[in-house]
Amino acid sequence: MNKEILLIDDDAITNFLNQNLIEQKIKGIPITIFYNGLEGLKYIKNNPDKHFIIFLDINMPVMNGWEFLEEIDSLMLETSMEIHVLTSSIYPGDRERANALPNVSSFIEKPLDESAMESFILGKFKE
Amino acid sequence: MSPILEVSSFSEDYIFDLCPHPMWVYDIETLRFLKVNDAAVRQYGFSRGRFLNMTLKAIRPKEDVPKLKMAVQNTQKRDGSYKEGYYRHKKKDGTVFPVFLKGNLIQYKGKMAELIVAIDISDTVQYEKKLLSQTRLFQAISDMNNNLIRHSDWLKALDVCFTLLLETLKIHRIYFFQSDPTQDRITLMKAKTGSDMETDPDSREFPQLPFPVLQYLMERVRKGRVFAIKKSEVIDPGLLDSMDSENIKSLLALPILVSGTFRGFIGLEDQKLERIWTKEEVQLLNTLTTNLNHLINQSEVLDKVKNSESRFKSLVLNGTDLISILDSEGTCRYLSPSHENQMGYSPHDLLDTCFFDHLFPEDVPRLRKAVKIVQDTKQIAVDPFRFRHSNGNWRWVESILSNHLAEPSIQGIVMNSKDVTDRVMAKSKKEVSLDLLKAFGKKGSLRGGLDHMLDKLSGICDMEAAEVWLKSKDGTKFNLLGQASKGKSGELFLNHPMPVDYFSTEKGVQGKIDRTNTLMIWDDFDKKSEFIRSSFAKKVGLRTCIGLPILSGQESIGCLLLFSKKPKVELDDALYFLDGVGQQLGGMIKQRMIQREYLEFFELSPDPFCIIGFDGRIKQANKAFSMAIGKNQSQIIGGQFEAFMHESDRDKLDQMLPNRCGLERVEGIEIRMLAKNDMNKWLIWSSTVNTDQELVMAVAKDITSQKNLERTLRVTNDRLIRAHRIAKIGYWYRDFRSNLGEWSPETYRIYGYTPDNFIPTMENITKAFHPEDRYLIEENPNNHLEPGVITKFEHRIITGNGNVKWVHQEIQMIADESTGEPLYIEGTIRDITQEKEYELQLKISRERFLLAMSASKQVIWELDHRSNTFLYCQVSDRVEEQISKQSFEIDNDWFKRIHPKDRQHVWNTLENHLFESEKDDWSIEYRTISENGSMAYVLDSFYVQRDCHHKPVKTIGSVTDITEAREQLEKIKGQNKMLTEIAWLQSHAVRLPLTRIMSLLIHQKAYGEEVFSTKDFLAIISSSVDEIDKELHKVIEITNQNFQNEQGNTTD
Repeated sequence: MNKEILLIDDDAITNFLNQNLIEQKIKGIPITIFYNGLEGLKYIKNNPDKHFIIFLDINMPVMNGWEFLEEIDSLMLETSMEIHVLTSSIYPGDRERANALPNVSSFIEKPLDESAMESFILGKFKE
Repeated sequence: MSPILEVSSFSEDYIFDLCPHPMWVYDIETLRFLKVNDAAVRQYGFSRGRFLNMTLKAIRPKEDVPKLKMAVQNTQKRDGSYKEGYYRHKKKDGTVFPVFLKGNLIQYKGKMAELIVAIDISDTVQYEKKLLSQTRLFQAISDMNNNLIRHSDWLKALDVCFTLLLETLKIHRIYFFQSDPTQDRITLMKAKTGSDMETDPDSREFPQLPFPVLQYLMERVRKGRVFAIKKSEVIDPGLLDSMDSENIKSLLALPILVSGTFRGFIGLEDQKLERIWTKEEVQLLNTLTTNLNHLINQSEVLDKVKNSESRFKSLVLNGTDLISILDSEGTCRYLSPSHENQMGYSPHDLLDTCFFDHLFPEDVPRLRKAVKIVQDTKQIAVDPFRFRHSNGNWRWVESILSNHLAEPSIQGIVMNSKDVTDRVMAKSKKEVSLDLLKAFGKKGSLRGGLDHMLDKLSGICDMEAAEVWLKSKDGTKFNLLGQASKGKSGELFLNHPMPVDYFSTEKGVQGKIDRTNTLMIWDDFDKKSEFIRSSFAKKVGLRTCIGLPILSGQESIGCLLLFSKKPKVELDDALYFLDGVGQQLGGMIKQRMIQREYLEFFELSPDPFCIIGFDGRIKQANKAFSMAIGKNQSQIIGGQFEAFMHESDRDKLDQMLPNRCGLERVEGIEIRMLAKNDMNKWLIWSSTVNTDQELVMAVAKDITSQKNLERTLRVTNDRLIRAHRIAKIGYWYRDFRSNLGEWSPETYRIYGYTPDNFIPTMENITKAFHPEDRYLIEENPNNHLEPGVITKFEHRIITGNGNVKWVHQEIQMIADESTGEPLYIEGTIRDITQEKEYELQLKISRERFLLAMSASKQVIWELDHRSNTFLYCQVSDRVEEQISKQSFEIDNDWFKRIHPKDRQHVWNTLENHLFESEKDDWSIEYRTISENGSMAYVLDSFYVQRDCHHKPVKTIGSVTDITEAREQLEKIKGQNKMLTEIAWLQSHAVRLPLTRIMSLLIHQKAYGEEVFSTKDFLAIISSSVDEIDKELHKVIEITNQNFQNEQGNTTD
């Protein structure tokens, strides 16, 4: 199955920086950027045969991260994906909320740096 | 005169020594021995040398020395040379012996001397002495024999014999003890004491043989042995002492045996010598004892003969037995002399008369038959028959007939008879008495009994009529109580109307008998004036009247009159039978009268009486007893008394029965008796014992109602005391005349005293009052008390252990109803200390409650579901309570206070919870509008009390103002919202540009300028910082805005 990394974040600079970093660490998987949840959702629906690794921001215009997670729930059985919340929030309520959702694989605080990336990859290998 | 020979040669000396008899030559002048032979040395015990230095004096007893001198003088003067004579000599060892001396005067060695031959004649003298004593003894034996044979009275003979023996045997005392073989004892019959006795004359007469000696001696002589004892041989200390005290040196006892039976002994005492009894002496004594044996025996036989002779004589002459001999036809052939004194006939009067002619005609056939029968047998006894006395009276005689027809010396029937008149009469009299008693007892009533008895008596005594007159109780008159008649004349006499109803004790024959108090007999009484009925008596032929007093003890209680046709002389038999009848009758009548009186009292008594046997059975019981226990007499009599007693009282019967542990007299034993229907009757018993009849007479009183009352009273009293204790009420009482009051136990308890340590005098009670309250008691009660009116007051007391108590007293004074004078004062006292404390606590807690209510702005409400009333209370100004009461409706004042928007909701909630929910407590929040229009939030909590069907009975609620709390809560909510907003802003808006910078920096470090130029780098940082600043301003703005909102709220 074709894998694809989706970066869903309204901040363009952050997206650019994160894409750069991920490309350095994970080679061979295409990265696509979306600026709100709705865009990402549409894309996923249109590509049901792909396996997505999604890095999802919470605070976004149009459809924020929470709304995206709510919507994506109905698609979880038909599509293959793993969702990692990547947010600047250090508000404990957000982490608790994310962890409580079954579709969220992990909760990563920004900024995304190499060590964070390495521990992410390590986690993947372990699986 | 013969020549004097000169003899002095060896050969002569030799002959001199060979002479068997002692020989010596002595100097007549000096009496010194000049020559002695061997025999003299042997005989006298002196050596030859000693002899030659001695004089004649040495061989003579001292007392004979004067004789010697005389003899020597005679020797010097004597004519011839030869001389002989009897002398006494003494040996060297002091033995004196008789000698026959023969002497010849000689010239010896130029001196005038005498040659003496001394012949020891001791043996000769001894023999002679013995011979003499034997002769004396033989003489005594002969004398004794003569004496014993001669004397007819053997005791007198013995006296002479004893004198003889005392002299002959030289003894000091002699006696004879006779033993009676039938009775085991011995008696001193004769004693004699020697005339030279040193003892006092009394003991001389009656020798006191000490018991130990007598016992010792009897043991031997009883067996027929001769007993001899010497003091030195005695070992037994008792015996020795006794012999010492009686000064007996030797004692000889000789048994007297008659036909082998011990009949006594003769005792001999020597008080100086320990005697060895010679054969001759013993023989002498044997003679005495043998003769004595015979004499005693002989005298006894003689006595016997004499006795039997005199007995026979007295039998024949003075005896009452009648002996007669009849021939086979009944003709008297011999009559003993006793017929004279017994029957008044001399034997000759009856000789050859026919025996049957002297008998009572009725008895003749019986006797003829007996005479006939005895001829075929040996002997026959005949029951008493009547034989005529010479004075014409009949005597009862009892006989035994023996057949001696075949005996030639008798040839007849021997009839041994005895006069048994007294016995027969006594017997028939006894029978008469018994008959009378039976007759009397046969009838229940006194009159009936007397009639019956008189009927019997007139029959026995052969009287025509008989009457009993009894003295009235007051002793003033005689009443006729019984009569009986026999034959026509008697009947006529008694049926004749009495001229008077009664006889006074002064008049009539009855009075006379009463006064003399003895049996009286009137011959021809019809001629005597004291007989009122005399003329009629004559008419019917009555001649004699016998009157005798009826006696109870010595007291006359009436008299018995008997009337007869016979003359006085022919009434001996009747008189015999009547003797003593008065006493007998008196006893019976008295007994019957007493019995009747007693029975009347017994039955009359309203109190239960009964007679109980020692076996515990009821012998008699009166109506009252049967009434008391509700059982009829037949159920009671014969029953065990215990059966009618309550089980737990049964042991009390023991106190009434002396054969258990009862006393002779018992009083006041309370016993529960079992009455019908399982009821208990309390009877109080007193009893007395009749030991002879083994009866207990018991009387009782029914105290059931008293007991019940007592019990009720006790129960009531107990209850009252209990009630007082429970209610802590004490009672007291004081008589105005006394300083001392009476306190109930509870009163003592309240005061903290006991009757032992506190006497309720006025002084003490005053002290027990609290000093500040003492004025209450010190005041005169009459000043403020009205009779019968209860006055109440409260005061303090100081209890026994020093505590202060509050008491409530209610007192009243009781006055004499008639005089109005105060009699006593009584009251109750109650400890109210606790109540006082509660009161105080209540006051405090009420104050506290009011304050709390006021501070908490609480309103309390109460809904009574039965009356559907609603009550609420609120406190204003911290002290005052306002209570409102209304009916429970949605439009009442209470509900009007509720905010119109909440009102219905509150009503519904209440309704819902009161009637549909099962929960008992609930709370609800709502708003209220006060009178000034301000709104407040309240929390109304309530609790429902329900009955057993879960129906609400009462609901109690408390309303608390929570407006302030509500406002605070709102404020906190706003602040929380703001804080959340700020936190979100910080987390998302502020941190976003920050994380961007951080990411940039990470990139910069990792990749240098290959991604961003410095210019771009700085531009990104600059825009990110602006962004941060913008967000921070937003935070400040929110905070500020919030602050301002709050400020605005508070100023509102």
